[in-house]
Parts: sequence; C-alpha cells; structure tokens
Amino acid sequence: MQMDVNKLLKYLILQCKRILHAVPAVLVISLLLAVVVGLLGAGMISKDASDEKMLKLEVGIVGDVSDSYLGFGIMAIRQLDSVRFAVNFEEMSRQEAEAALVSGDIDAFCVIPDGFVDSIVSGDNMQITCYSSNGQLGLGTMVLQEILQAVSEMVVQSQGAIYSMQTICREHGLDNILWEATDELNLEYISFIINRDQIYDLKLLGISDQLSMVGYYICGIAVLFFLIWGVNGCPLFVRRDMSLAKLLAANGRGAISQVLCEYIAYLLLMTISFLGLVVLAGGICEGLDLSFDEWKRIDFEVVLSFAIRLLPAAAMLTAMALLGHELVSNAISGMLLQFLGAMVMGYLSGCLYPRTFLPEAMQILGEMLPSGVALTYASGCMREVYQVGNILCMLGYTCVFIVLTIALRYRKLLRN
Amino acid sequence: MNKAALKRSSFLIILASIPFLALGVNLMTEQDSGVLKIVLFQENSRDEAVTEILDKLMNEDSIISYLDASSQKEAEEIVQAGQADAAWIFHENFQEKLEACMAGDEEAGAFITIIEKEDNPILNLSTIKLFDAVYEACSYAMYSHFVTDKLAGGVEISEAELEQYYRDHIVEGNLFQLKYLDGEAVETEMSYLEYPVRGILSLVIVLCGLASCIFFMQDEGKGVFTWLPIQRSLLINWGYHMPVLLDTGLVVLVALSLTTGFSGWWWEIFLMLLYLLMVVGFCDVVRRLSGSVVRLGAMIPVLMLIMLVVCPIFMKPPIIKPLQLLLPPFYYLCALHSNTYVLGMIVYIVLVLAIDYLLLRYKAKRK
Repeated sequence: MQMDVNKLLKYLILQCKRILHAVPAVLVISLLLAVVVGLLGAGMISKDASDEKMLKLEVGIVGDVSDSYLGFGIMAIRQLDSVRFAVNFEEMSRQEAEAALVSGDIDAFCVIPDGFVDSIVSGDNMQITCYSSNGQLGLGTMVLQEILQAVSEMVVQSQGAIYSMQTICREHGLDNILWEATDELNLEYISFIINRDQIYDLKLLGISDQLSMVGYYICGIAVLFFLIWGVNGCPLFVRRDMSLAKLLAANGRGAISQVLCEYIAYLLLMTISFLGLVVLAGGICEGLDLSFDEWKRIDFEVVLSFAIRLLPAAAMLTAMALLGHELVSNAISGMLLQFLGAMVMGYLSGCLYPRTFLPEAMQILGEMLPSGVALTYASGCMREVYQVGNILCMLGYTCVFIVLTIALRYRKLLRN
Repeated sequence: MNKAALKRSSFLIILASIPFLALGVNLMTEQDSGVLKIVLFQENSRDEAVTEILDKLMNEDSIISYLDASSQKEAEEIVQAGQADAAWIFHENFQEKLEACMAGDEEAGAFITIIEKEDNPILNLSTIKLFDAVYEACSYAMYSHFVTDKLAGGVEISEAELEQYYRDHIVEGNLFQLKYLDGEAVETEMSYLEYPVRGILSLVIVLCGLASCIFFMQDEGKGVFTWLPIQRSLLINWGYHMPVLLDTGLVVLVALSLTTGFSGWWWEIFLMLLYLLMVVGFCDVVRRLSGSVVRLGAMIPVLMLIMLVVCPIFMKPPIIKPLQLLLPPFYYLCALHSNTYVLGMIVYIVLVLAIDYLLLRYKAKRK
C-alpha cells in the first residue's frame, strides 16, 4: 500500500514538473491573453466608453439633404433619444463614404438618389440605398434595418398627413394659408418626435436577482476563457502513442493513477495561469476608476476574490478538457475538438450571445451543459449568492468527466 | 500529411461533424427567438387601436419577439424573473389619452407604461420599435385634430372623408433598401443566430493550420525531414500544411452551403482558395516566430480569442486596424461583399510569402 502511494506521488511530482516546464511560456502567452481580455473588459465597464458607445453605428449620408422631408427624416433620427445613442450621421461624398466604409470608420452609408424629392412629391417614393460594409455586421445590420424601417414609417406617415392636409386646403378654397399650415403641421410632428417620451412612463424594477449586462458579459468572458484554454493542453496531453502509458501501467501506475495525476497537474497549470492573469488584471484595475452595478469599485481584492470563487468551475472545465484530450489521438483533432466544443458550448450557454437571444429549447439545453452550469455559477459568484446546488452539479460533472477519462485510458491500455 | 490525418478516425469524425453544426444552427433559426423579448399587455382588450398595434407587432418579422401577458402583475413578474427584457402596458384609456396628447393637452399624460429591470442601450432601441408601432395612430390623430380644429378655425369634414384623404396619400413600401458595397442586397431572411457561423468556421481553418504547424515541429524534431531541404524551400513548408487545410476548407464550404449566407459555389471556392493561402502563410510565420511546440501551443488560445474579438464574428468588433489587418479571418469575412478586401487578400498572400521566405533565410543563416 505504502509502495503504491509512493509510486503515485512520484508520478504526480513528475507530471507537475513536466507541467511546470511549460509554465513560463504559458504565463507569457497568458499575459497577452490578459491584455486582450483586459482591454475588452475595460472597454465594457469604463465610464468613458459606455455601452452606448460600443453599440453606436456610424452612418454616412451621400446626396442632397436640403429637402424638407429628407431633413425631417434625418432630424427625426437625430432627435430620437435612443437612436441618438445608436446612430451618428455624417454628410460626405460618395467617394469619401466608400473609403470610410472599407476602412471601418463608418458602418454604413445612405445614398439619396437624384430626383428623390420629386418622387416624394408625386407620391411615387424612390428608395434610399443604404450600403453596409460586409456580410458580418450581424446584429449591427439588423439594428440598422429596424431603425431604417421605423424612420421610413415616420416619414411616410407624416408625409401622408401633410399631403392630405394640403389636398383638403386646396379642395376647400384655403390655398392662401396652405404653406403656412404646412409649416405649422410640420412643426407639430417635429415637436412630437422631439418630445416622444411623453407617450410612455418608464418603470424600472431594478436588477434584483439578475445580473446587469456588463456583469453578465464578464461572467461569459471568464467561462469562455476556461473553455478556450482547453486548446492549450493539446500539445501536452494528447498522446500520439501509448508506449509510455503502457510502460507506466506495467510498473503499477494504471489508468486511475495516470489520469488522476495528469488531472491534478493540468489543474495546477490552469490555476497558475488563471490566477497569474487575475493578479495582473487586479493590479491594473487598482489604477483605474472602474465600476458597474454589481461592483461599485473594482480593485485588486474584488477581482481576486471573484476569481478564487470561480476555481470550482475551472476544475470542472479542466476535467472536461482532459476528457477531450483523451478522446483523440493527435493534436489537430484535439485542437479542433476543444475549439469547436468551446464555441458550441459557449454559443448555447450564452457566453457569446446573451442566453435570452436563443430559442427557448436551446436556452434550457445550454443551461444544463457544463458551460451553462459554470456561467450560472459565475453569475451567482458575482451576486455573492451561496449556491450549493451549482457546486454539487459541478462536482458531479467533474467526477463524470474523470471517470470517463479513466475508462478511455483503461480501454486504450488494454488495446495497446 | 493528408494520409496521416485522414487515418485518424477522430479527425474524420470532427470534420464530418462541422456541416452538422451548421445544419443545427440553421434548424435553430427556424425556432422562435429574438434579441429582445417584450411582454405585451393591453388593459382594455376591446380597444381596437391597441389590438391593431399588437397584431402588427406580433406578426412582424423582427429581432424583437413578443409574448402576451394576462395582467400587468404577470407582465412585471415575467420581466422580474428574467424571462423577458421589458413589458409594454397599453393603458385602459389609450385612445382617449392619445387623442388628447396629439391635440396638445399637456395634462393628458402617458398612454403606455414601459417596465424594465435596467435601462440599457439595447432596450432603448426597443422603444424605437414601440414608437414606430404607435406612430401611425399618433400621426393620424395629430392630422385629424389639426384639420378639424386648427386649419382656418376648423374645416367641416366627416371622419370617413378625413380617413380617406389620409389613406390616399400613404405610399406603401420601405423608403430604404439595404445593400452591400458590391450591390448585392442584404439577406433579410438571414437570422442573427446564423451570422457567426462563417466566422467560427474561418477560425476552425486557422486552428487546423496552427495544429498542422505543431505536427510539423514535432516531425522536424524527430528528424522526419532529414532528407528534405526544408531550410531552403518554402514549397515544402507550405505543402506540408496544405492537404489538411484543403480537407478542412472543403468541409467548411459544404457547411457554409447549408446556410442562407452562402454566395454561390464559384465565388466561395475562389475566396476559400485565397483564404487557405493566407492561412498557410500566417501559420507558418507564427510557427517560425514561436520557435517551440509549447510556445506555439500556448499561443493558440490567445490567437483564437484575439480573432474572436477583433474579427467581425459576433458583435460589431472594436476598430484596431493594425491588428485586424494581420489576421486572415478579418479579410475573409470582409471580402465576401467587398472587392477591396479581395485585393487585400492577394496583397496579404504576397507579403506573407515574402516575410516567411525572409524568416526562412534568416534562420537558415543562423544555423
């Protein structure tokens, strides 16, 4: 028995040594990772670069905007409180607009065709073409579509009302006051759009047991980091041949001890790199004035205590990554599996898009996946909620992953 | 190299699963989903104006999805529980208040209540949708009041005539059309759930290239290339990675053909070939710069995360041009509807070839 424990300890120490050799390189690279994640996180929560700025669409306007209805449309967009935060309009030439679109300075530009005003007057509205930069604007394109549709509706309805009023004037012998009345009605519409918040009351319930959007994204990024980090272990843990494992098994270190020692070493590497990043991020946060709903002041202590509470989730996802490495027999397959797994799980669990964007069935499935449990747990950690259920669930997943890895190793050893 | 990879069943299974992933996302888009979920409740179910607005909202193709509530309390509970982002409550005397408001009565007060957990920009955008939905009713009420009360002290005209004039002057259709720079119309039927598929698959190709570099380094360490002039010929270096990338590229093309964003085989094949050359060059340069398997392995998640963030895959990426221009997926995703980026891809291939060759010569000299 004593002999077995000694052998196990020796193998564990050997594994840790092997892992520790990789630590400097992993740490240096992880620092780069920290910079990326840090920039992303700081961008999301800094007071200067608010959510509004991140979502803002820059739109160029090409053509003559002197016409009243066109001016009306642009004024409408500029005056709508919510759109003002979402869209910024800039007048420019076609050439400038195309160059700006390609360089990414603007997200889209609208071309007002010649004769647009005449077409409006004749009631045969010509279309304004909006050019989008590429096929990958995603949500931005869709938001732009929604805004354009809303503006179109406003222009068309107001135009209809004003022309109707003009027709009534003409048919009732009121030609002498037609233009005065047109200006007056125009002003009423403009005033209504400017003061549109008079039509609704806003009742804010507070975030209560839910996270704010920034808090949610931070949890999502943390879980995504753990998921993608699995790719890192491929050169270290994916075995192309089993001769060493077989030799170890012959010396009394079977599948169980091999897998357990490798798991502990892998977890150690994950913990060192994660905490290394967190210490750095915490240090940077000390010097910045950052805050959001859940964390009124972000300092070293807040970041570190959150990170330490995330370690059970890291332990579960490390066990899952190890199972992934055991499932394949070469680095290409290993990386593909880890990356695709991370993307699919991150996507379904709400690390990449908020979970509520998905269909309901997918939301339920995503919540049950290990990444979903980790995200729910991380959200609880941010809200400082005591969560036995999630911890037990993660423990259960960790055990299942380790047992499956042992079973696979056992099978491989037998086959070899 | 191709034989070695294809011999591994795990590699084949993973490759084969890629089109199924795209198909899965495609199926997912057919289910009911939205960027925002709004609960709707009308206090007076007999108010026809509100019923019309609700019908319009419910039947519209939008990134906002709507659900009904049977009471204001239920609507609030749904929002509080996080099952919806906001609730819009249409007041009992909606029509009266709307008309009073449009007639300029400052005491009329609001006729809708918006209930939210927190005020954020995405929710702000949803209020545009609300404004859009009620604008027709507001616009008509304002016009009606103007003609009957203000125009020359009030024109005598029946309600039916007023409405007829208004309807006669409304021009149907959208004032705007959305196109890409190459003139192709934006696919309105494409769901936001499907947008990231192309980006993720483009990263899969980069990943395969980097993994192939790890194999290359391991084989180099074992002396597999002893009889080959790998220190002099770029062709051998690039040729080593190409088979695996061609396999993956082919599978990615098949997967993309299952999505609504596919732009036709010839154009997609042309772009893919350019992209594969870019990826080979990029990965080979990264391999030479990293110097060891461990360092390269550690760099891979970093590169993947950087690409995920700065390339237009999910949300609008931050503009970090110098970094974005180094990454092949950025060009590939932008080139789909922009010839400028296609040209950029060709320039990139030439440049990366030159840099890789210079690095090869430099390392050969040092040895």
